[in-house]
Amino acid sequence: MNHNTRTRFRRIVPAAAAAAIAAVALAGCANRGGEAAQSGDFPSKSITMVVPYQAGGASDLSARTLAAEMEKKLGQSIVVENRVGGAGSVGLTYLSARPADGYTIGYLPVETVMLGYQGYDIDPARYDLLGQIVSVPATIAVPANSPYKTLQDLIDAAKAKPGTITVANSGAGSIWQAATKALNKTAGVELKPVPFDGGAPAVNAAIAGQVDAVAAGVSETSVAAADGRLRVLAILNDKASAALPGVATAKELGTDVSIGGWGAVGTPAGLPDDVRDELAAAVKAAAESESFVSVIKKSGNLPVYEAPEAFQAFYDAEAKRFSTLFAK
Amino acid sequence: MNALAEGLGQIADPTVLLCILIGALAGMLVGTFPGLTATMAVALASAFTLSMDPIPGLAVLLTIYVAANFGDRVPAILINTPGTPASICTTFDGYPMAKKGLAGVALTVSAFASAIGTFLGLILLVVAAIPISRLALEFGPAETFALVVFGLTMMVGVSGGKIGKGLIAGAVGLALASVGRDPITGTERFTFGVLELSDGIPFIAVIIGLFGIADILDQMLSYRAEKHTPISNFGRWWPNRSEMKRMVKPLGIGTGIGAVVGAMPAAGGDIAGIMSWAAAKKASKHPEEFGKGSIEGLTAGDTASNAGIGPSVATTLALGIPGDSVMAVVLGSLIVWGIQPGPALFTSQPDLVWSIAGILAVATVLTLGLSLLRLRGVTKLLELKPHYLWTVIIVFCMVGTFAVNNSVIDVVVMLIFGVVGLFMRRHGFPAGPVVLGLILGKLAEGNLRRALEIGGPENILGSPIAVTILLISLAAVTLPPVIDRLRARRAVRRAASTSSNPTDQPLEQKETTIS
Amino acid sequence: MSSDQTAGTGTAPERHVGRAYQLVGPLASLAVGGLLLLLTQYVKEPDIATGLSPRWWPGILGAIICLLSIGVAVKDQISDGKSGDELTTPTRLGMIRVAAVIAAAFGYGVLWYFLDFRVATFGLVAGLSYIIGGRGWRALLLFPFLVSLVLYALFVLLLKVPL
Repeated sequence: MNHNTRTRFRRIVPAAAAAAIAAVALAGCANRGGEAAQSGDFPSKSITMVVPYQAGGASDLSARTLAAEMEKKLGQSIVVENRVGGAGSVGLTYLSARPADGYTIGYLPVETVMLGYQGYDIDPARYDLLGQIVSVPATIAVPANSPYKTLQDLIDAAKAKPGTITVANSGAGSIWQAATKALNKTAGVELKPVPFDGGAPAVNAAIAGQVDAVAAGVSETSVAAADGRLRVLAILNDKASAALPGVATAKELGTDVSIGGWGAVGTPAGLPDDVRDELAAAVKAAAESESFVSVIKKSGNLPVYEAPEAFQAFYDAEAKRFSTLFAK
Repeated sequence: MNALAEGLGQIADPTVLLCILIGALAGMLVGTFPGLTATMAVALASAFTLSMDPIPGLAVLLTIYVAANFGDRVPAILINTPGTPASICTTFDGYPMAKKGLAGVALTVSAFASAIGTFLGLILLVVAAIPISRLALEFGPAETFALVVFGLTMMVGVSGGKIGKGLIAGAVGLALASVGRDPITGTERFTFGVLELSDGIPFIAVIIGLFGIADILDQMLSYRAEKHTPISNFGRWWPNRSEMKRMVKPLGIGTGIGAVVGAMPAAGGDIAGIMSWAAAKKASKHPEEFGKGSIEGLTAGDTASNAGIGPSVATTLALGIPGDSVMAVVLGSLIVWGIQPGPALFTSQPDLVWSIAGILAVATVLTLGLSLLRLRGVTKLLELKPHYLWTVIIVFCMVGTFAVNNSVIDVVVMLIFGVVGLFMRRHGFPAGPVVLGLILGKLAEGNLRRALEIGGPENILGSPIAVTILLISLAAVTLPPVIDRLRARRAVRRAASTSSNPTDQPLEQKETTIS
Repeated sequence: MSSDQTAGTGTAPERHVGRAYQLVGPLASLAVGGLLLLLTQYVKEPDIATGLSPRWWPGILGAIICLLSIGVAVKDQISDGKSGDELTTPTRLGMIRVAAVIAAAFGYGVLWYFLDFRVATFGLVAGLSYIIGGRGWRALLLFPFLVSLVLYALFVLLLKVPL
């Protein structure tokens, strides 16, 4: 281990030095306006990647890991810029207002297609897609000592006593609250969503039995499920997850719901084709790289690469789905 | 004991020690700059450390956390600006001490209180991680609401003797916390269409404005060049024996409160510090000195905000639930390293727990040493001419505030609250309650309404923990005036019978409570 | 507000404020409370049924602020007029400086938008230094240069903050 540590550390020091030098170089040409990209020699300077969430979170981790891999492919440094606020709308608005020259790319979360229906001025059409990189399926979990052994038990209980079975989620308007709504709609029941202030407190409330169940991402429930404090009833996804061995999908259990978070890379709309191809190729290479896949897997989420065209269809379908889910 | 030797052996590696040194320097630097928080530093560092092995990686991250909680005391004491939110309460007594010419003693006391607090919290991590985390798990919305109500009873304590205006300031702080999306329904409140406000008023910007900027503007307002004599004497460096003796009780109070608050998910050193400061004031023999340069107040706050580190790490490791925002980032790294936090961690990888405790211990000793070493140089800051000192503070506060969220709105908010803070000072409104209200507001409203959503009023009244805490809160508000009155009456009677001069403590205390 | 009393930072004489001045604070907080109550009426009621409305909490706080403000105002007027606040006397130069510093800070935001961070910061530091009383090349050239350099090195190079 010690030997390993040292060699790794040796690798990091020059990397850090290189990063610093790159930052100096970048600063030299960091003028605020965009220049028209000369086709053929893209990229000729460093690229900014906007992340609409706080540094250190799950989205930030995915984005930074991807950026590091994309740097290798593009031969230019990528500076990650966290623009936080308004449930992600601050960063997304900032991204859409940047010049579409390929020197600003951004991490697009599932909220890109949801926020427009929640009173924010976010339009999914303002972004060109470079491909999906990660998927975070929703799970429904109950405390280990819960009387509900299966998803059907939970649905039956909700049928018997509508509006009294509480399901925690990470916040008002979050994808996990939408997941509860989607489950309600499909199963024709009324589970009561209770928004918490973040995913961890929501999961905590379920572990401690303060709520009947919790809707959260795989990465959030798998830790507590592994040591038996939480029982995951179903994954709301087409495919099962390696992080939750032995847990069936909701579809297999007879309630066909598939919903969850995802992450993609996009740019402001109107990107020149050659720049788009260049960036999309880099995203593909990075999203399929060994280090990206292993980091995402370890965090409990699914590394899923989807090419821009295929992803565009899914993106549009999601936007449509949320328009009906949030309809009054 | 095998795990102990193995765990500690891993950090005796020179690479790990070098990582701790780097973390300590980075953490102290970040802590010293108002606006830069430990959370931000740890998040940025985690991008580098993810490619390292867990132990050296954790050495960097945890040391930054510890060291930032030392560095942030320096600007709090010298320029009334908390370096990070954890040192808000350091400004209450540290800055008045510096103004009295006791900057040296204040810095030394603060460094030792922080170090002792960290160590006591660390002991709790080692001996009681599992029970602590079990307790934290018991705190659902109902119990958290009760605890927040208890925190709100401290409002009177941080009002600086002006109860009416203090309570107004507190209510304004609570109201500020309601800006943004409603915690339950997601409805916009008071955002006026500003996107950045929909996540709430930027907290760090408000405290930098209310404390640092307001103080400079206040000094500037009445500044006369011909009268200005820079502080050239920092006084003593070491507290004398009686001062050391007075540190003992607040150390105990601070550790207790810091440990409980630190273990709670989502509650950090800022809340712990303020609550402990107010509690120590109640328990003190000299409550009238609090806020005017009391060693006890300084000790209580700094001990508590650091005593929470150990329990916060304990909650994170034992439950997989972050004890505060820094640990949320560290938790992310742990999972990527393949370390699954949870109760099983303590039996499956006891050496890792010892390594973490060892890193925290080494980091504390190292940071304490560094603090004491550079104190002399740092206090030279105060000797600068105002046009250097004030300019540096204003510019650094502006850039630091921008850096928190890369947001210009934050800088605007900071400047507005600088002016608001100046107005408050000039009209006798204390700033402490605003900050307490702002910190606790979201927790209070969110958890109350969440508890009611889950099970109506019986959800709160049916919880023994919540009811107990609420009763204690009620007692905290109603008992002191009653006791004061009884004491005063007894003092008067005694004075009448002996016809001596009644300059006892209780009367003085009563005066401060009323005015 | 104006006074010819001398006041320095270290040796501030206690100044007892007049009754009219005492009213300004409570009236301001009364206005804050009233504004809060007014704005609360404009908060949108949600479509879903919840135990307590989003208006409930700010409404209560607004009412509390108003009541306390009235209470404090009345008490201050009844009592002997000595608030016990230790206030240093503002000077005319001080007031001008405070206004200029605030203006400079907001101007910085505008300047920063159009110019490079280093240039704008240099301008701000030089400006602030001048306003607060710095004169000579060291205060107006060297000092702004050094401050801009330190900030740039720390934030842009070390922390990679996009300034």
